[in-house]
Amino acid sequence: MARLNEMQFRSKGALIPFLKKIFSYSFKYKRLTLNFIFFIILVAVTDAVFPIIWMQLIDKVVVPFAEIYTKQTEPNIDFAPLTEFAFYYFAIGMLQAFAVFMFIKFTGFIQEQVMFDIREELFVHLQKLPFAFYDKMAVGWLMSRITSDTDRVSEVISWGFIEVIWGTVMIIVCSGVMFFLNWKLALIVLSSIPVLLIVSFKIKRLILDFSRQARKLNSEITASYNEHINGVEVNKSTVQEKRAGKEFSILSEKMRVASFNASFYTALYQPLVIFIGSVAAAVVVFIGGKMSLGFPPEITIGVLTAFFSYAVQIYEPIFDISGFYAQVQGSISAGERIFSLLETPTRIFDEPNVTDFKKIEGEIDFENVSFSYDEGKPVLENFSLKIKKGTSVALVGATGSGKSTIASLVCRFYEATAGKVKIDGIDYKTKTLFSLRSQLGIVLQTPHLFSGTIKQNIQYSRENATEDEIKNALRLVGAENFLGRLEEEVGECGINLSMGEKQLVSFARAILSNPGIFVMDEATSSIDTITEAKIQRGIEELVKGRTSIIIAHRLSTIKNCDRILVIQKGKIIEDGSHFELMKNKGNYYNLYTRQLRTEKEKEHGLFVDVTEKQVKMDYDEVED
Amino acid sequence: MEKLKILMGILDRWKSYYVLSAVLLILSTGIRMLEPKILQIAVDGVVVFAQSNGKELHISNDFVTQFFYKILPEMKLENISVILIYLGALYLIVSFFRAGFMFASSTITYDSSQKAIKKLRDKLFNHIQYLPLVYHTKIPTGELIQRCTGDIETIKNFIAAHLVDILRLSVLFVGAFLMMAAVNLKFALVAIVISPVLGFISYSFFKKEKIIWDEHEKEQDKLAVIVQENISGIRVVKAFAKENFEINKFANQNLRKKNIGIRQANMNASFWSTTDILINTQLTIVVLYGTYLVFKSEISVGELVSFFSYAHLVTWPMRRLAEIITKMGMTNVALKRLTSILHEETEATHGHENDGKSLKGTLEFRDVYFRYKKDDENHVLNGVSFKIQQGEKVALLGPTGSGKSTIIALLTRLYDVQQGEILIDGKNINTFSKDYLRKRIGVVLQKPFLFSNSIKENIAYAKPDSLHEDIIESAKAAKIHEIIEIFPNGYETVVGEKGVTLSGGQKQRVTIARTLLANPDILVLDDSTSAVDTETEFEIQAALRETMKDKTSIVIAHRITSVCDADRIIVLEKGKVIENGTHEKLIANNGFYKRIYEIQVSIEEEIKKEEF
Repeated sequence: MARLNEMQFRSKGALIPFLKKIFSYSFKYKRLTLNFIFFIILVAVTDAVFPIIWMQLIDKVVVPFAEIYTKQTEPNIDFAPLTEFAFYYFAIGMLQAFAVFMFIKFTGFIQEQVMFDIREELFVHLQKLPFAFYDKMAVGWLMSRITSDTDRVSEVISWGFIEVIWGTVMIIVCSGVMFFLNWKLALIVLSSIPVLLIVSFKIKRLILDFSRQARKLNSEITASYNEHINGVEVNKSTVQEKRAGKEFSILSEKMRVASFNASFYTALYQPLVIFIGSVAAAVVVFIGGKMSLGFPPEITIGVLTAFFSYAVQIYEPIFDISGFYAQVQGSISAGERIFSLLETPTRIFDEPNVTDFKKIEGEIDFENVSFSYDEGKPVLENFSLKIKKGTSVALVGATGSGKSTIASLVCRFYEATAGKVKIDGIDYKTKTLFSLRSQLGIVLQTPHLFSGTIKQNIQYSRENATEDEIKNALRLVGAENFLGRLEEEVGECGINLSMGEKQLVSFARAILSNPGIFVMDEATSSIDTITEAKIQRGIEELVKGRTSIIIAHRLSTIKNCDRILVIQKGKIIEDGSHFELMKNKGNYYNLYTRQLRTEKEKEHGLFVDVTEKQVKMDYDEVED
Repeated sequence: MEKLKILMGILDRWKSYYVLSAVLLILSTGIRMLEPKILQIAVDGVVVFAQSNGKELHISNDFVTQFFYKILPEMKLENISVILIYLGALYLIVSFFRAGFMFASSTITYDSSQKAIKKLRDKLFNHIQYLPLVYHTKIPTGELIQRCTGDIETIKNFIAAHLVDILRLSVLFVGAFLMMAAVNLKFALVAIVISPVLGFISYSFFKKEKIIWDEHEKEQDKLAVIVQENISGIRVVKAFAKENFEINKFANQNLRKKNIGIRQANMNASFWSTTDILINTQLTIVVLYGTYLVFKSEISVGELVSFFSYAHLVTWPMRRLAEIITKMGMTNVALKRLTSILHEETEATHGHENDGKSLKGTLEFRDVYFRYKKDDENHVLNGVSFKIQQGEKVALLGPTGSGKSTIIALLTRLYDVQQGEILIDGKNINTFSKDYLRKRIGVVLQKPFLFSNSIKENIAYAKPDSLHEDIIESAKAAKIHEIIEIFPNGYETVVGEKGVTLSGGQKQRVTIARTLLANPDILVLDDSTSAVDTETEFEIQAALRETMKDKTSIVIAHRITSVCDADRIIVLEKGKVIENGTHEKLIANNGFYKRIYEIQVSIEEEIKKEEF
């Protein structure tokens, strides 16, 4: 699977472009972003101001009060400063509460909005990506781009970003205040910052590395559970439960060590920064204490307590800033995956100046078409094929022979690397994708339905179809038993219906739009014989007088087609009707007799457990 | 209480470390209580003392302050500088021990909880391996995996983080309160006046928040479902040119998710700001009241300074405490689910009197009945009886659901006989241990399952220390050697999710090689060549004839051509043996077997007809 150059951002110097990219999402909302920055600054400033009020209170109120007592002076009590400071304290408290309210609101909003935007952008882009892209991508992989990766990135620019702003503002304001009060003590307190920074970043880095390791091991553990639960019967039959347990134990021990290492540094981090802060605080007690002793004292008691609390708390902003650093490092790969997905070229799109197909009649021309999925491994080379309007054509061949490619090229799911595909004599690249595909009736190998009712699923091909038209379509494909079940919910991915039922619905869906060309790519391979027999009738109806391209492994399905093409390594090696090819006694003959044997066995109801899958496996092995 | 016992069980032999870590944590938090005291002494005993020219010295009468003054040099003005050095040093020592104990405590907690969790993981894994197959058919794999990963993570968070936090925050609260109360009880009471309200509001908020969070998750899940459906159905979307329709559908749900997310943020904004107001109100009251007490000369300046620090410690942690307590419910659920797995009884696999060196290989089913579930109406086996002699090659034939695979499962005691008995070498099957039977009877399962390891490891799965030559030999017998050689990495080729995908027939052949390598006394092939073409199937059978010379073997198949040269054919229908004999005898019998035979002959004729 193409991993989309995940490693690219790991290199140094990738941080800045990454941040630029993710922040471009929140800067789109300038006013919101400014608001949220403003309020978080307000929170930080109020946080920094609290010790000052407290200091003022001590110097202006508490100490004089105490002196009244100690100096036994006449009580000349002035309560005004007390009420004043209490008011300030309370007012700043309220202001901070307000700022907290606002910043959480705005941050939450930015987070959700950016998540919304990225998800939508991703989803829209995914709709444009060609089949070739989906061939290589696992559903789960793409899912986690839209869900968890988006989550992480939007968290960085909302809650993560807040920590940096708060931390930075705190440091700046606190430093300013401290220098204003006493530059010597300020230098003492601030001298701990570089040490804190170095320690923080070093330890966070270590924590990050070990957590990554632990996460990786964790997915290995999940995989191991998965494998050994699915393979439990093998373990039992071969009496290997104990060994499986031992192997798992080695894995879980690795996981334990990695998680312990990560938590060891986490455990180390906080005490260490607290202790570094305490060293500064102790020096403040000593030097600051001395300063307050002179006559007149160089600093007051209030200033001393203020410096003390700054010294003790200065690690907090550093803590937050380094936390952001760790968060960004941890989400760089998430961001990279998102952006590389967004930058994946769409390849198949409408060129400028294209026009719409009018009603498609159904003539198909392949003119010297070449195509390859991987460079250097051509599937088709100089392939030419002319299909007359109204003919039904079956393509037969082993996996990889190129038969599905031909069908996909007709639908323009892929584009030829050389040569032209013409519909009704016109190169389809000069027409819109929409006007082509909306006039094709396509039934794919695995019938896929969407949550909703049966009716909604059939209507998928033509939203404004009436109920009568839907019922007609159902009758046409021999699915009369659905007539009364139109409002039935099919469940997620059609889970409430059996495979055969789903395929019947998808046949009805394909025929509802009365397509000019009908394409059926292995549409019967996932259903049982009885349903197939039913669908067989439907297929014959669909094909009547309509250009059709049918790929089926069960040759009985295609026996009645006007033309059967046997494809091998991208070339047509046999071409003719069933009777002609049987007479020929070539590849088609061999395949047909082989299959007939199995089919007949099934027909007699003896060995129902021969699934189509096995038939297909047989098929491929014979071909190999 | 029962939950506590379970937790204790999980903590296992690391319980005492846990207690040690708790003691260290309490010590560290207790020491933290000393820090404000030092500041208090710096203010009262140094600054005020010096400024009042040594006239004024306030010494609180609590134990801690008294103790500090005892350590310090005599309180004289000329000692002031030394006292300050002492105080600075004391502060450093105190925070050194605070940090040191904190580090020791968390390291011990992390270490022992990780060890306990590792043990739990291993225990769970092993337990699942030994649970009877019946259990596995009952519980969906995904659910089981979710329990083994997600639930364990929840429990780990609880014992490694939440439990510690609860202890730390409670000690912090109690400690700070006591420190204040020791000096001035009234002040201490005023300092916590809002705390209960704060605790209550926080608790109910986090309860409510959990509900919103669940709703939020639901919307998020719905969004994920839409994406999932879209991506897995992207070919349909494109085939019908419905991209815009899909984008609209997605956008609607995306918006709904955004809105609930914003609602959640607003709720949080209200909560944190209201509680901030409460906290700041409380602190303002503390300031006012404290200053008043100084004015009344009930407390000193230094005491007020230290009180203010303590007041912070009894207010701020309340919210966090409430949050953790609301999260304990999750642990409860996780515990319940895990114990329900661990309480399931495992199958006893080892140790029985009859476990000998190797089996001779005679087999007998005597009137055996079996059904998978007690409430199943029909038995899968309805009184099956047959005998197989040592060294015989027997084929089981019959339509789906006739009980062929069940017979095999009973043979290795994956399930136990409910009525009747099975004899191996003349002894009841239950007198052999399951381990022994499974080692001596090699079964190639119907569904070929390979582990995502190298082909070599897969073949040697039952005998990991096999010689490479032996591995090659069994691969040759299973007719897979040539194919393996084609791969660039040969036997080291990794298969499965991370490696190459083998075709169904190739997989089946690897599993046959795996069973052959284990060198069983009785070989069972459960429809194991269904995806292999007829010619290769024939070659495999010839090779098996060679390797299984003199040994009993049972083949389940559905084509006459694959069974007709067996020593004996047992035909089953609806859980009963309906025919039993050689090909010739059964043809002469003119029964079910003959019918199948005739059908297959007629098919061949029909095919001939198609040839014109």
